[in-house]
Amino acid sequence: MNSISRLKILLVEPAHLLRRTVSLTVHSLGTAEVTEAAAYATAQQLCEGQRFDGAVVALDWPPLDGVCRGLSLIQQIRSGESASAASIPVAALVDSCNAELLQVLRACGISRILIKPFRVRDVIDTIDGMRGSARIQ
Amino acid sequence: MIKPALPANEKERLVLLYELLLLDTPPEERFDKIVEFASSEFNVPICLISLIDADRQWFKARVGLDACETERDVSFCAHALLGDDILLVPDALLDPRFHDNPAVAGPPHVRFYAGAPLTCGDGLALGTLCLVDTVPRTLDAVERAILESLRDLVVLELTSHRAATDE
Repeated sequence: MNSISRLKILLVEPAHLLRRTVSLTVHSLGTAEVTEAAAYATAQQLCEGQRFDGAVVALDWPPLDGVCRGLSLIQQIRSGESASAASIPVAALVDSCNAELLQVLRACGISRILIKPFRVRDVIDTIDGMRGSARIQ
Repeated sequence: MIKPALPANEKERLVLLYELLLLDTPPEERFDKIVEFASSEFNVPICLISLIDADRQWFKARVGLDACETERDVSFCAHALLGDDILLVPDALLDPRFHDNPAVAGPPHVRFYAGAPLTCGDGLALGTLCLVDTVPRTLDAVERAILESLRDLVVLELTSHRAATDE
């Protein structure tokens, strides 16, 4: 049985206050079940073991050491190397966005880009918007 | 103006407030971050973590207000303590409790107020996380849920030391 309450979302966001507020609010609204990851390594492990209907991923862009772990995570999902369908909706949270990043995100099939400063409300609306495109398990 | 009544558990509430050693303590980043975050999220000029003492309200964290305390008699937050839910005042000028409150008639010219009671696990409300604007407005269901989430994070921070020492 498909149900709104069963929408499972992975939220990857190192910023504690933003991540916790989104997760607590979505939980209280009952619109989705959010699994939080503060670190990309944790998110990768979660992706390998759990099936999600959508993901919201903060990107470490520009990457400090040449490797954007957020993009690696999204590519892991898109290449089918996760427990989730490769086509799940993925939204990206970024500090800023230039043409290069936009091109990369388009190639990754990102469904929405939120550029700081954005509000908790924007992230919640983004998660709500995934309901239409997600195939709820 | 209607002065706020005292909660039924006022005595126990004050005992807990004093136990937590919060009043008249220096600003702390963990609380400052929350009021700054809330002020930005809701686009309000004033956001406070207000603790209600016996005869005053004292601000543990504040954005947009110079005063560090006010009298309890004129406190919106002291009214918010009396309920479990967010106290929402869309337009203070239209509310008999607040229309002639000095904070409405004069600076900071409060029109909108939303205060989420900082209620601990034992049902004792220490104060509020509150939003203030100088123009009338309201909060929809999602905004109320966001304010409640931020309130829950404040309560966790306020009581974290107590929880740690209880273990």
